[in-house]
Amino acid sequence: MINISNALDNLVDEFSKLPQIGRKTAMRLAMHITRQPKQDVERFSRALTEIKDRLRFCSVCCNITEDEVCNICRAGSRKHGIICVVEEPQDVFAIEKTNEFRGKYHVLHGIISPLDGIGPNDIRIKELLDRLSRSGDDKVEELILALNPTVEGETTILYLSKLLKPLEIKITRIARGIPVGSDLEFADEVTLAKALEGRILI
Amino acid sequence: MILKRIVLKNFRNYSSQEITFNDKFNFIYGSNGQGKTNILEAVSYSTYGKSFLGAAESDCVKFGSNEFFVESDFINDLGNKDFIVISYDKLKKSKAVHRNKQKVNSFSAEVFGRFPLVFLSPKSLNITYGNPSDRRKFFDILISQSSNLYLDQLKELAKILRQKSALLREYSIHKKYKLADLKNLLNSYNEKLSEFSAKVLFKRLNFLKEFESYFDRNFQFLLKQDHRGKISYYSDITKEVFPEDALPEREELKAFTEKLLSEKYEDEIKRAVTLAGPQRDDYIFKLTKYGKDLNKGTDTFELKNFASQGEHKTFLLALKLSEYDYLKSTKSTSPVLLLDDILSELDEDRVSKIISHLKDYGQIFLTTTDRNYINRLKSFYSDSEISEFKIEEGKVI
Repeated sequence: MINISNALDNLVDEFSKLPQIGRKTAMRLAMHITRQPKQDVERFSRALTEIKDRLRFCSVCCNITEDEVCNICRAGSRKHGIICVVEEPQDVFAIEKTNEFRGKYHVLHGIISPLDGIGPNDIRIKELLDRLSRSGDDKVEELILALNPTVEGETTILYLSKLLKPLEIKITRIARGIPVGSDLEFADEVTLAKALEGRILI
Repeated sequence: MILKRIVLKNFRNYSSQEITFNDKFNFIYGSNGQGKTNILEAVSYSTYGKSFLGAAESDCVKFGSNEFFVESDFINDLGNKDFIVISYDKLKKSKAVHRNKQKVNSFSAEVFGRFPLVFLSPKSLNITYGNPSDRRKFFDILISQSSNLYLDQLKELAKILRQKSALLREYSIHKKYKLADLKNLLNSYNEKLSEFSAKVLFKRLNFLKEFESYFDRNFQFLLKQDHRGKISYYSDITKEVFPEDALPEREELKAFTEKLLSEKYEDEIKRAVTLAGPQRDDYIFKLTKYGKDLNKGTDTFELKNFASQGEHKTFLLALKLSEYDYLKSTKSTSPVLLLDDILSELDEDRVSKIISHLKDYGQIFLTTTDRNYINRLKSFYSDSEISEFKIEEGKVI
């Protein structure tokens, strides 16, 4: 095949490195860029570099932010005593959308999975420990572990609960089971069995 | 349940072939290497999502092409149609399943077990001759077909075991973890492992209790002499369990597993392998012969060590017929019976015993190199109940 342009190949390569983007889509995106007015492309490329320049991790909760400390950690209206531990920044967005949670967060940026070579030191557990031990007057009363109900999530929950036991903080995990608004009869047996296991006293 | 029609595209040595099947008996014949078994393998794809021969998907793609399709039309006992399409793309290494033109997200929840299937081939003898893993696989597939929950539990167990082995390996080779971290993590995995081991064990033991009556009946049917076949379960966790024993509760099983894991704890770290769990268990097949002389008593021995070839074959057939009966009663529909080249391997009188009872079974697929065998079948089936297919070089002629 005759090489038309190295610059085009280069751009296609870069696009195809993005998640969910294959060669064909990468080609389509690259062709789209070639047809765009120059100032649009410049704005796009500025947005890309800016995100790397401006975004960093919050020094308290490790969520992504533009400041030293993120908006949620600074907000006086939020309870200091409750911390919700999540896997990724997008989980914070998901929980924020509920408007139900008024505490603070801690983002682990991953989950323990020896198969992928990720151990406790590769995610932000140390930061969580530091935070819990130096919290001073606003003592943390409850830690909510909002991790995915996978094998990796479950073992990370067990690991954290063992690790944090000496601190004598109340540790909870989010419930799992039947989705709201659906009928029991439509739930698959695996979900239903887990919901039965996780039943609660009323 | 009936498999009405199948279409193979670029599957094994078939480029494009549509076959409409008989509701009763499908007699597939041809010389060796023409593609008889490939049709049955395609059937296993649309029911299990995998090859029952354990072949990799990429091996099933026809030489020179990149993607295979298997389309099947199933009709259940109520007359409802299910249209299943399985495709595999060799380049993307991705398998896709569509049920009634809708993409299936979870094969195990939506398709697996829906179309029960019993498969018998000379390779099946691995169940009695082979390793514990062959026996576990046979029973795991059987139990999974009647319980999606069990299938899910097996998958979770396998995932926990993979993570735990990776942890032990990483620690022993790369010293990636501090000892305190390792122990904390190991405890977490062991806790999960005990939970899921108990679930899997509980299900296997209860299944065996239920399965025994089917097995006993079929064994008697095949061998009306003074022989009895027996299946027990061996695990380091429970030791040998017989179907007639009072079975432990799940909580007890969990406690047993926890205890065993804590005994093996240091050893596991030292040797960097998991040393306990249902992934190491075995089903034990035994044969009891009652002496003709009543005073002589009985003689019980393990199939694995002392049985003749004939006894192995009888045992296997009894297992397979019981598999059929068990699925038929739990799924309340007749499974499809696939008989691959069994006439050459299994002895004449054993086969004829089954053949004379074939009418009791639902839809049957039989492959053979011996065309004349059809004449024997014709004494049991009317002309409209039997269809023959001659296979030559990846084509039905």
